This record gives sequence, structure tokens and C-alpha cells, in this order.
Amino acid sequence: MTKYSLAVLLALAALPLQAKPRAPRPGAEELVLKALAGPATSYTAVERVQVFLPGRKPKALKVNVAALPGKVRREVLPPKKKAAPLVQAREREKAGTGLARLRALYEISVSTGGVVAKRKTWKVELRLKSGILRRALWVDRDSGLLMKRETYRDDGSLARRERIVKLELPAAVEAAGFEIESASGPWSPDGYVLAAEGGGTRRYSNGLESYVVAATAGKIVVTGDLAEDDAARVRESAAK
Amino acid sequence: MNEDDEARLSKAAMKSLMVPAPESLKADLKRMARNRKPKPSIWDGLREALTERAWAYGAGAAFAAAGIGALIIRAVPEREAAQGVPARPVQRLESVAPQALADMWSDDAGEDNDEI
Repeated sequence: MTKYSLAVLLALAALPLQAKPRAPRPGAEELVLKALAGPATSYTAVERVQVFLPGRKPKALKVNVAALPGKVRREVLPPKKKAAPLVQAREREKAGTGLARLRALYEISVSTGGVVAKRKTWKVELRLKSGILRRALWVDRDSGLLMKRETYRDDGSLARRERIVKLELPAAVEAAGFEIESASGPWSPDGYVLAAEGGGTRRYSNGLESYVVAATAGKIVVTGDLAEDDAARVRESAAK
Repeated sequence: MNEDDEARLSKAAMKSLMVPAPESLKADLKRMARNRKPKPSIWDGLREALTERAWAYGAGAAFAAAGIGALIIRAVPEREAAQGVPARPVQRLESVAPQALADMWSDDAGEDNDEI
């Protein structure tokens, strides 16, 4: 072995010494609380929403997101630039309420996530009590921002992915454009609108997926393409 | 004295006249030759070390990749500015026709990556 070979081997052997020590894994509930509360600073981001319908080509849309602590403004960008963007400003739900709902429905676990939009993440898995993986969340290790969320069907296939593809955090965001209007009906997940109403039912759609809210015998029933936690939130808000 | 004897005598005389070479001469000559020979550059040595055996190709590639990776990490800024959201009047989603919402979606490759 020449002295050069030795130098190369030593340099390779020294590489692991440069690695940073592993960050301690946070508790699952602590992390979910952080994600639900959102970052303490304002930020702007570009989010890609993808829907994977069985037997069809995936569909996607882009959303410009601007957020102040406790408030989020989403602007859906149409593919045709001449069309008007759709804007929605909302207040974040209280983190404790959201966590209680998730705890009632899912087993929550944390593992090491990858890098999303150049940010290191923790991965949170939400499994139904039956063991079915329903959602996976990628949470920014520093700010607690939800960077990516995937929703799965009962058979394990991917149904939906929402991912931040570009992020500026912190960012200067003006308070204008965050006027929150009072909701006319029950809460609906981001991107859903009331599509039809009648006979004691309301049908909501995002253009690809839909769900129905029905009031039968004083009980609110939600059916359609919603994960259990979203359906529970719709039921809670409709009952109020 | 015949011719053979003369030749033998002259050979012996020559031998006795020859001065024995000093012990260090050989080493001196070797040192001189080594000094005269151009020194291999450090890069030649490194290249040789990285190509002389089969495993060295892998080690060389890993070393180069690590170097390039370190350069890229240092070169890319930590945070790239995201597109700013222009302030526009708020339009409630509830006022939008479902067909207009359906038109918001476009075909996608389904990839899971950042925006380039």
C-alpha cells in the first residue's frame, strides 16, 4: 500500500467524524401539537396538492401559502393564468382540540423523516386502531411547520399528497388579505366548496373528490372521500 | 616468454593498477540517479493510488462524491426565497362554481420532489 492509498483511506475513514450527532426524537404528541399550532413566525410557501384516483392519471394543483402566527391564507393558482385565483383565509384550529381528535382516532408514532423543501423533518404516522395507516405527516424539526402530508386508502395505496415545494421561513407577510369571514356552514377541508344542497344533505367537492353531510334523526353523518379526522371535524362543526 | 604468458602478465598488471571502487560509490550513484529523475507530482501519486486496484475505484468515487457533495452543500444557500403572495382581495371558495374548481386541476406525473 502506497502512502497515497493510505492518505485516501484515512480521508474516507475521517468522513463520519464530520457527521453531526443525532437529534433526540421528540414525543409524538408534542410534535403533533407543534404542527397543529404552526410556526411562531410568519412564512410564505408554495404547496403542491396531488390527488391519486384509482385507475386514473394523478392530478395536481399549486397553492401559494402565506401565514401569520395563527392564520393561514391559501391562494389556489389556476393552470390558465388568465383565470382568477381562489383565495381562502382561515384561522388555525386550537392545537389542543386537534390533538384530542387525532388521539381519539389514531395511534400516533414518530420516526425520522427525510428532507422536504431543504428542511429536516420528523415523520408522524397516524394509524387507525385497526392498524391501517391513514396519514403520514412530515414536520419541520426546527419550526414545527407541517411540510408534507400523505393520506392513504384502506388498501395502503396513496390517495393524496400535500407538499410544500418552496418555503421562506421566516418571511415578511403583510396583515392585509387575512380578513377572516365567518363560515356560512360547517367546516370544510382546504379546497372543498359546497357543490349541492337539498333534502337535508349538503355535498362538498374540491373538483375531484367529494363528501356528503347529512342530518338524519338528529345525527350528523359524513360520507365520502374524507379521512376519519376530517370527517370528525366536519361532524363537530355541523353539530354546533 | 610466449604470447599467452605476455597477455596473462599484462592482464595481471592492469588488475594490480586498478583502484578499488569505494564502498559508498554505488549508493552515491543510485542517489544521484534518483535526484536526477523527475519527482512524481502529488496528483499523479493520488491518481495512481485511486486506480491501481479494483477496490480503489470505489474508494476514489466515494471520495470524489463526498468532496463534490460538500462543495454543493456549501454553495447552495440555506433558504431559497419562496414566491411572495401578492395581496389580492379575498374571494371565498364557497362562491366558486364546482366546475371552476375542477378546472384548477391539471395532469401530473405524481412525483414527490421540491420545486426546481
